[in-house]
Amino acid sequence: MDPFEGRMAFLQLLNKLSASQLSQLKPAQFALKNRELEEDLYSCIWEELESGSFNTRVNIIYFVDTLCELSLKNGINSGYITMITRDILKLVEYVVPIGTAGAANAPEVRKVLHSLRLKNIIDDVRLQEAMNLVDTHEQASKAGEDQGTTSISRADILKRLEEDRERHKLMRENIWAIPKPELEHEIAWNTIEPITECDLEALNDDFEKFNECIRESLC
Amino acid sequence: MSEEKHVLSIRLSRPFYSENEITRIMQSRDPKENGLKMQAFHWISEMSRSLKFPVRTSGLAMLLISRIQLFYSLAELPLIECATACLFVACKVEDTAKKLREVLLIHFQHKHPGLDADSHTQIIDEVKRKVLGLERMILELLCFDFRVRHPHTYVIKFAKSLNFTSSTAVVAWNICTDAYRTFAPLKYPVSVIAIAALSITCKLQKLSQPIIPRNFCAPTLLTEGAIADLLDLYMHFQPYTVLGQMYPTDLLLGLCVDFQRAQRNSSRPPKVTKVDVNIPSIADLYTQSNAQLSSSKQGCTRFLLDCDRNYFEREYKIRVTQDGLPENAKTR
Repeated sequence: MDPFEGRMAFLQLLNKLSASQLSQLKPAQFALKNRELEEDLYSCIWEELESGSFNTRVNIIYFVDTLCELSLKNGINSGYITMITRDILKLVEYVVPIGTAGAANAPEVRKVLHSLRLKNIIDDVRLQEAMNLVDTHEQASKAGEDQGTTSISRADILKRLEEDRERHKLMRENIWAIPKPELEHEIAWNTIEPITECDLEALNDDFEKFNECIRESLC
Repeated sequence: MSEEKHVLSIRLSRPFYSENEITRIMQSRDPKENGLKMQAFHWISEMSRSLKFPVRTSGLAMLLISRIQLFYSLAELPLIECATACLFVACKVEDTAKKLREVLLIHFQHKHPGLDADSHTQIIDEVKRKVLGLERMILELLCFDFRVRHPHTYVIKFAKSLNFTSSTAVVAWNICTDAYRTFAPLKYPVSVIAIAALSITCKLQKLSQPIIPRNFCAPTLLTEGAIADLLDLYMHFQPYTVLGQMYPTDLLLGLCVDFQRAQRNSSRPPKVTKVDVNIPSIADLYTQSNAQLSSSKQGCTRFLLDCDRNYFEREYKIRVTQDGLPENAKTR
């Protein structure tokens, strides 16, 4: 595939980015499959960022996360990951510009930054720098400074509501996941309260049921 | 033409079985099955790790394997597919659902490491067929009763209420996880297992045994039964357990020996090792009932969760014998 074809195909996939997992996975897989064009494909991400609406930008930052995850999963620790680590601050600036759009995207960007930190794409120093940037821009946006970014259309807002809902749904499907079984008791110790009246009642009911079963037993 | 027999089978959910009932069933089974059971447990553990399931899901899956073992001979079932089916049912019951597709993929990756799943869709379809069939069997064994409790939550609650530290609680937590590899969850309520776990932990950490309030529903006799089951597991299957990785063999064996000595010195009746074979085992009754259902042209199975025993007996007599239907299999 020549660079031109690659860019066209990739841009088309990026255009269809939404909250759905499949729309995120397809361009990520394409990017990894065509790693020989990585410089070109990476620049497409910037193109989308520069021209896209505030929705597109938030989907792009999630895509960056997806791409890193897929990359790590396949054992590829350089290429896109290196470029993303290098450019993270610039990425954040684009997704959280000063203006209403920026303020809206701030919480999502924070989530993605934490996710990238967990994957070790960025270190603590970089994370702090990025967070500070998000905070500054968000505050500036709230203070009313507008750098002339286009106002958000009604259609965009509705689409964003839909996508947030979809993202929440996906997150809930995996909220119970335990990354390492050895950690589970720690989470339990920190979240479970000591015995209450309610618990004792439940245990008593259980015990009654147990006695019933034993009474009925054949031998 | 002989008259058509309508067979009605009523299945009542039974979350617990007595020690003797279980002994009665297991005494007629090949001891090799225990090795198979441990393999199934190991499989469930590994798959749970890959699918990131919490302990309640993998625990329930192991409980289902134990339940299957009571009613069917493990040697006659496809063991690994059974384990996967149990895990699949468990993840749905415990609200940690994963799509069947994903579970089958992990199953394939564990069974055939290194192979590409996409080029072996036929194998995966075959597994899917087996798993869905086994799922049905498992649900019927469970009587569709999804009210399951787990000792882990309670062991933390008890530990906190009895002023134990987090480092003690973690050992007790691990013992609760090991408990699923025994029949204890089918014989004792979760409060008993949680207290048994704490008791063993105190012995290991040389702490004094706590005084258990009565309303914790863990009478000493039952707790000792659960402790016996757990120590039995550590004695015979230490490498398969979580605790077994944390403590040396001689320490665990020492616990077993101490416990057995204490039991002998106390006035407890010795554990029954053989039950009268003239009593039909639950497994026999279940098999008979299934045979009757499949041989009759019209069969109906009703699954009941709870029931006032007296009401049930009365109504059963009225409806069944009055209608002149033949004595049918009432199984549990």
